[in-house]
Amino acid sequence: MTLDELLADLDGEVLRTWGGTWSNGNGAAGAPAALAVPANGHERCLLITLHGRRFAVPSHAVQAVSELPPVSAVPFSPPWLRGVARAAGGVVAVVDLARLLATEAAPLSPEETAREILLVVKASDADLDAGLAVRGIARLVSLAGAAGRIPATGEVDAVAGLVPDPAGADLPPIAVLDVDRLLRGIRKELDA
Amino acid sequence: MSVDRRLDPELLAGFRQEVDGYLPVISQGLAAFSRLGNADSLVEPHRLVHSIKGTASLLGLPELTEIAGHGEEALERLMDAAGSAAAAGVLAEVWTLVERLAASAGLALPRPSAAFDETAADNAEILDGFRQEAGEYVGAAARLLHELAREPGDLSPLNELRRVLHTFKGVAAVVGFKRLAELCHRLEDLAEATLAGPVPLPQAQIDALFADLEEMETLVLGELPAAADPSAPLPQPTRAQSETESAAPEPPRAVRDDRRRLREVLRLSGDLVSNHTAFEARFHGLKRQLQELELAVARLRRVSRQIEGATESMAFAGLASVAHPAPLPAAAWTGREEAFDSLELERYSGLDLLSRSLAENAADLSSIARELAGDLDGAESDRRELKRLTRGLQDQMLRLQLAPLGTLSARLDRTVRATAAREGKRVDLVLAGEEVELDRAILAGIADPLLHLLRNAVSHGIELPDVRREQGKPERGRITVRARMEGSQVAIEIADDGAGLDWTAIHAAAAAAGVLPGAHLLFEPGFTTTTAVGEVSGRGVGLDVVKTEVERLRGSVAVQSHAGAGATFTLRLPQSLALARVVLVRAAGETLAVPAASIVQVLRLAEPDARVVDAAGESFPVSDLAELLALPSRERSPARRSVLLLAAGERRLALAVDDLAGIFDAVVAGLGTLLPRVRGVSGAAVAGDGRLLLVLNPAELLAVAASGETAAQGTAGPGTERLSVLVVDDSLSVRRVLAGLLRAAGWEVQVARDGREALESLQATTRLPSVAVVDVEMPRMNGYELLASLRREPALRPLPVVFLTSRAGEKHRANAVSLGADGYLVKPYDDANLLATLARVARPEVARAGA
Repeated sequence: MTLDELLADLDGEVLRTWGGTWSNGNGAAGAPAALAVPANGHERCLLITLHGRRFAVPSHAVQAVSELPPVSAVPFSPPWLRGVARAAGGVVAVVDLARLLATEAAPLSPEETAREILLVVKASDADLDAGLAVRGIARLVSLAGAAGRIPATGEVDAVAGLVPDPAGADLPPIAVLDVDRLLRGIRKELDA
Repeated sequence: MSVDRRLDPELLAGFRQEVDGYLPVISQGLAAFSRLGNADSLVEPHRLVHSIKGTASLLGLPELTEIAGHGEEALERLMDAAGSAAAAGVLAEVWTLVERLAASAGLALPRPSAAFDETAADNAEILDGFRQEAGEYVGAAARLLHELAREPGDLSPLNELRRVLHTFKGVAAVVGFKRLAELCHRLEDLAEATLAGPVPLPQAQIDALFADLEEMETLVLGELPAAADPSAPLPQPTRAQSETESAAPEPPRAVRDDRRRLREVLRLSGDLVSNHTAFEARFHGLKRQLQELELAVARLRRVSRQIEGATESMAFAGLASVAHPAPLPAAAWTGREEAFDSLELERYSGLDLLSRSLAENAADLSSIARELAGDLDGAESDRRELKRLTRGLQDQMLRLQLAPLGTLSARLDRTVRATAAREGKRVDLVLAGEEVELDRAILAGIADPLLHLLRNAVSHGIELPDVRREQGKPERGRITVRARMEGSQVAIEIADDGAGLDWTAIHAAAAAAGVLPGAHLLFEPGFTTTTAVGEVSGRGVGLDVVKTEVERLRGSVAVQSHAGAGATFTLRLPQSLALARVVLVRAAGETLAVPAASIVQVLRLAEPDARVVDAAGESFPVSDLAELLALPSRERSPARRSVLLLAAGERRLALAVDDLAGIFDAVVAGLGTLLPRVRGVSGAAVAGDGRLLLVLNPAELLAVAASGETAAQGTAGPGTERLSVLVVDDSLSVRRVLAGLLRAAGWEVQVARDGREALESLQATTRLPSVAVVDVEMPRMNGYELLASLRREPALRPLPVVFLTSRAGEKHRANAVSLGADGYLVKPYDDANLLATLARVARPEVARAGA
């Protein structure tokens, strides 16, 4: 799926699209009802692929999706922090999600193109947000909610659980990210 | 109070007095919450209880620390419960804890003031309005009393004071603040009596007026906690506090929300300016394209005329119809055409028609270009108006963020008076430039540093009256706080006419600590010349906190002092935290912004890799910005590079950059929620083309450079070797002081007593040190001779040499440079600069060739 197709997909469900950027309210808190309410115990998620590994980001935490804007490097920062950029109506720290989750050791999958996109995510219980730079192409899917997840043993702390890939039973399970934990973890690392 | 016998009783007495001052305010805040249910009333009690907890912990009072900790938590729960049914229960719990806290400190919890009429001011909206109004009246009264204190022979401020008090009294009575109204009445009477008294006013009378004003302020602040106002009282800073929380008072939630909204609107107005700049660039592009279009149309018309002329010539020559046969004529016309002579009827060939069509199209295009030019002229006018409005909007938004320094006057005055009374000294505070405006966030941030400097001035600067008399000084000391604008910066001087800094004690303390003496030491953490800890100051805590806080606000602090003639501390701060004129620089392919106010000089580097640069008669080690910030190198450095000489107080930093890329007024925002603080960076700004630029913090960059640690070094692996230094000086004291300083900074140190000893030592070693620090004048072999010898010997030639000498003359410096010195520093020297210089020029220890 291309970014334009993804944006069109998002546009079909939620508030508005403009200039190649989708936002669920220009960075405002709270997700639109279409994204926030899971259907049949399922949760709408943005599916991304990082070096062949599939991750899901609950869409209620996603504030905006766009092409990766120019990023300004920040001194004294870890390698996975690309820098800062203007997105979703403000300034966000841009995190290279593949490097952060240490999936970069694996090769890129065919569906991962050179075009990077930025997902701006926001924590539900804290005033934290970040831009996640991902190379894997994202698409919108319905996945099993919390009740239907397999516990994520041996995964990084930011993975809330595993769900079967709807594309096929023989495919590896998808790791669903807990955005709150992810952002708190990033903040902790940066504070350290 | 359960006292650890090891604790200093004087310190504990001071703390107890501090708590005694807090309890009435806490009590009044709780009473106000009880009546109005407004969480804002709890902001001040919460801050004070937190302060008590921090200081109690610092002093080693576990019981009090624990009770205050519980109290703080309960107050937070009470704030959250405001307006709910649970509030009453939590409030009762808070009262119990505060009573326990008072008992643990051996104090009685005062009853809430009766100034509040139980039936009055139960409307939060009225109360909010009155808060603001009361602050204005008190501020006006304070300003008038200051005028009176300055010119006791001129009683005109008293008349104005009476008018202010009369109005305030009426308002307070209407809103229901009876005690406040009574106090206004008393002060009004006092002012009236004073008017009938002797002129000039006796000091005692002025003191009495100030005492009443102080009571009024206490009452207003206690009853109407308005911590958003930077003039709200604050406790003395303690190390524990300064390490764990911002010195700025936390404003009430509603005010925080308002400020957040204001910042958001300001950010949007900044974006508007940025977008407008981008629009301007596009607009000018459009104008250029229009000019191109007009030129193209002119060319087209010219070609069209040429074709037309050529066609006519061909027609006359009878060639046109041959070259381009005419379209087939209509049947009715067939044969009749021959009846007309060419002068009687024009004939149109295909070429004629093409030529005419071309001419018509050229005319159409010309007309469109003219209309487009007209529209663009109109748009140009609109653009200019839009620019004016945008700038105006931004200016007004920025002004909303500003407040006059005079809002702190009452607190400054109160602090000086209270400290002087405690110390048995007589001090006048003179305020000048109160109208100078500063960002509210800066005002809130500098309140504590200013109060600390004032307490220091009274405690350590101003002498006791009999001492001053003996020295031929007036009995009353004088402290002047003077503010003035310096470009986009505000300079605030705190000058006293006291004893001045005790340089002998500073030198002795520096020697004891093994560091080089200098005024900068006063701002180092833990540095003190005082062995006895006083209640007010002398704890070795404070000036470092002052410096840290001022630098956090992108400012600097400097001190000047002459024995017996007092001391002057100068704070330099940006007027606004949100707006900064910045110079854009390029480094390693990145564009970064440097506040223009911090740039002393811009120089061109003679050599791209030069490690030392001369400016204003001094040599400075060059720090490479890209290296300092460990920016990944995406571009090769150009052959011609620039150096910005940056100032942070008295310190300087020569910063090498690849290029300069312009200057503009930036609206500075944060770096996002994940990055509240980044060393060396004070924020981000949006450039005219929409790019995000990091705005650098010169004071922090200087600290990074002085520490000798770049980000790259900070991430070096365990194999990183320690740097070593050879100190060559004939003075034992200098060798000891330098060795102490350098070892403390992590260097391995060798010493030599003169050039000969150094040379022999280097010839005997298998590994050269990273750098040598060399005096000029030494017995047996001086520094120049040593350097010349080193440069003659290939094995010793790589050793970098920095001169550290008392010889400041240009002739001496030039001689050193001509011999190949890598740096030239003059004693006495700023040790941060020395460390930075050595870190810059040092090279890793290397095995000597052939050794």
